[in-house]
Amino acid sequence: MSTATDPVAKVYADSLLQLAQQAGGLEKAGAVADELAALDAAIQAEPAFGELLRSPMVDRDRRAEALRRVLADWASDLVLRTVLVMNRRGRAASVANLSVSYRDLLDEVAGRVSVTVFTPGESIDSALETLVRDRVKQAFGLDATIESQQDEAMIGGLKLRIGDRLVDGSVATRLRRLRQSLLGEGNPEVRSRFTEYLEDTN
Amino acid sequence: MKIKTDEIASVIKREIEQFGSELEVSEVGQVIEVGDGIARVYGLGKVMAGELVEFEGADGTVTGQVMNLEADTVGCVLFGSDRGIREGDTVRSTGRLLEVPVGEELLGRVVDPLGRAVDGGPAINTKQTRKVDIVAPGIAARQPVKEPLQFGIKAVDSMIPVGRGQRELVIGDRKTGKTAVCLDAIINQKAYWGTENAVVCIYVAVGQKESTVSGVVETLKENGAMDYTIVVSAPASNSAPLQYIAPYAGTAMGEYFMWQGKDGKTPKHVLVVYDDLSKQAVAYRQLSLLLRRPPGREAYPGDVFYLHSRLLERATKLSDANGGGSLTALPIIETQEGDVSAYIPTNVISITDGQIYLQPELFSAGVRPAINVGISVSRVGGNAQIKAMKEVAGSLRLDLAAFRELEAFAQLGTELDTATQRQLDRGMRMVELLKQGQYQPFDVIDQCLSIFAGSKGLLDDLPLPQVDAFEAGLLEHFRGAKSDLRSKLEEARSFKGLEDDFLAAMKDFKATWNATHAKA
Repeated sequence: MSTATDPVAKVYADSLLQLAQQAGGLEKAGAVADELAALDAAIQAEPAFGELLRSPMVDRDRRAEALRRVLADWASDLVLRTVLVMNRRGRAASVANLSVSYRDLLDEVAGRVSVTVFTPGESIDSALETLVRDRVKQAFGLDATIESQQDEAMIGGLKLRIGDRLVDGSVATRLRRLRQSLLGEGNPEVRSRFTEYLEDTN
Repeated sequence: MKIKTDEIASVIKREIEQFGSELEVSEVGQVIEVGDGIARVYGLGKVMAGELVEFEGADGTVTGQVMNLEADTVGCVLFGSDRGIREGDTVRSTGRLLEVPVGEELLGRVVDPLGRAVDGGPAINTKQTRKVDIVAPGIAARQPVKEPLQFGIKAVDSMIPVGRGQRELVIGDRKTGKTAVCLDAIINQKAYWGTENAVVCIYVAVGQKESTVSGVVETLKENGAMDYTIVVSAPASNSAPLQYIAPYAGTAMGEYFMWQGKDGKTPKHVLVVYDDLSKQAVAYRQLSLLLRRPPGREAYPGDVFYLHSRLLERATKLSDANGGGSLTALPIIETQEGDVSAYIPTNVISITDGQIYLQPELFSAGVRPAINVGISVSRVGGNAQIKAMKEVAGSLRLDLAAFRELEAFAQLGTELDTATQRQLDRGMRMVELLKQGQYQPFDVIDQCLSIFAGSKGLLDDLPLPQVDAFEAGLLEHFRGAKSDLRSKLEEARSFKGLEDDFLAAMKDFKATWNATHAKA
């Protein structure tokens, strides 16, 4: 799993983003993000490619040669040079985490936030999508990139994940909280007044 | 009898009506690494240090606590099994701190550090909970230690007196009777249970064998001490985070009783035994290293001093405005080969108000409890002794000090002058007098009488093996024929004005004792 926790990838992604913005603003930066996503997809799809990047057995010059051949056809000059610089500095292994880090930084710069909408059954319709986008814009002033996911365990309702924040309106969570509140607050009350609830039948 | 279900239903109905339908908003993150009771989580941007988090694993929800806040990740410890948790699982912040159930319901029970029953009894339902890790009461809330906490052990109560609210370290090698001394102290509190001075005892077992803990519980039950005792058990098979929080959890359970004195309720005095803090430090070292905190001396993390100081600072004698409750701490530290200059022993020695030092040499020489009274001290307890004990203990200390100086001579077998020989005889009989059977606590008045007899020289001409029997006979005499004199002492709590009467009565007893034992 590629994560945004790789501090090396973050530094290179930051530099790459600044260069891309200088070259052509957000539009160019967006294009670079797409290229990096394609690169990430290639690494995920072909295990040997990932191995080539990670393995210390591969000589740097030979790896540079291979990278040039793989990227030359479709990658922009900026991306190719970034990858080659990372290779030269012995950071080729972090190329796999570049895309995620870059996407996070770009979202921040562009005022975007990724929103995952969880629903129990079928995926969301466009009306709901617009509603969520409007509300996120209203609350956080950010543009939402919406992704839809199904989660049967939530029984009903809706769950939104906005960045690190989870807004949970699912039936499962409400039932869990009701249970907690009955056990946590109701239970001692019932216990402390237990004798009052006993009826003498004799 | 029949349960009125409709009334219970109405309580539940009211709960449901009041139940808010607002959305639950929480911080979430994802597990990126898990193992050895530690998890690293990505996300949780606004989580705070010490906050509880919930891991939604395959085997249900596992609770954890935030320990490390790093640039992109959060290091958490888990208070449950990490088996069901996988990379990518969701972690949810709760906005709460760790709490344990507290209350009378816990008395007589064996619980784990989270307050769940582990003694096979019914689940524990308390009305209240308390935060586990809190800041100790400040100066204004306290008063000096001034009431005695009787151990029922002659050597301790006479020369190393411990007061309520004090922190007294029990230190020694393995198998020197550290736990036994503390259990004696717990068992001795039986005499006070049900009175104004009742003491609730909490025994916190950290990193021990389950069989040892069950042995302790059995001992407490046999001696009728479980009625007022809570055992918090974090045995060696528990994860390091549970062993780390166990002493704090035990203290929180004790603080409930200490503070209830403010509402005029009793018991308001608490005795907490931490058995032992060396193992807690080892557990904390383990989780600190796994969290990648930098190691220091003996690979302990830099804040291992704070680990123990913030725990022992919670031992308190509350001011009268706060009800005058107290929490006495008896931390136990195990040394290796008598090395008290190791890291953890020096730390805890410097934090506590004195130490009871147990020596293997004394133990194997038959001096039990194997307390080395020469180097054991109590820095505050002296104010807390009863007057009669203060009067007799002074000369006892001098007799023993003189004896230790001359002891080496005695072994050379040279001819000694009579004065020296007399000091040696006195010392040997005093040492004999301070020996005491396990789980046989002495009442404080009995202790005074024994030491009075010894320091007045009544034992000097007795053969050593007879000292024990003579003492028992003497105490019996003061319960029977001379009980009026004993009750006078009990009332006055001082020998002043009574010395001659006591001396005469003891001499009478000795005459009859000599007569019967000379015949035999």
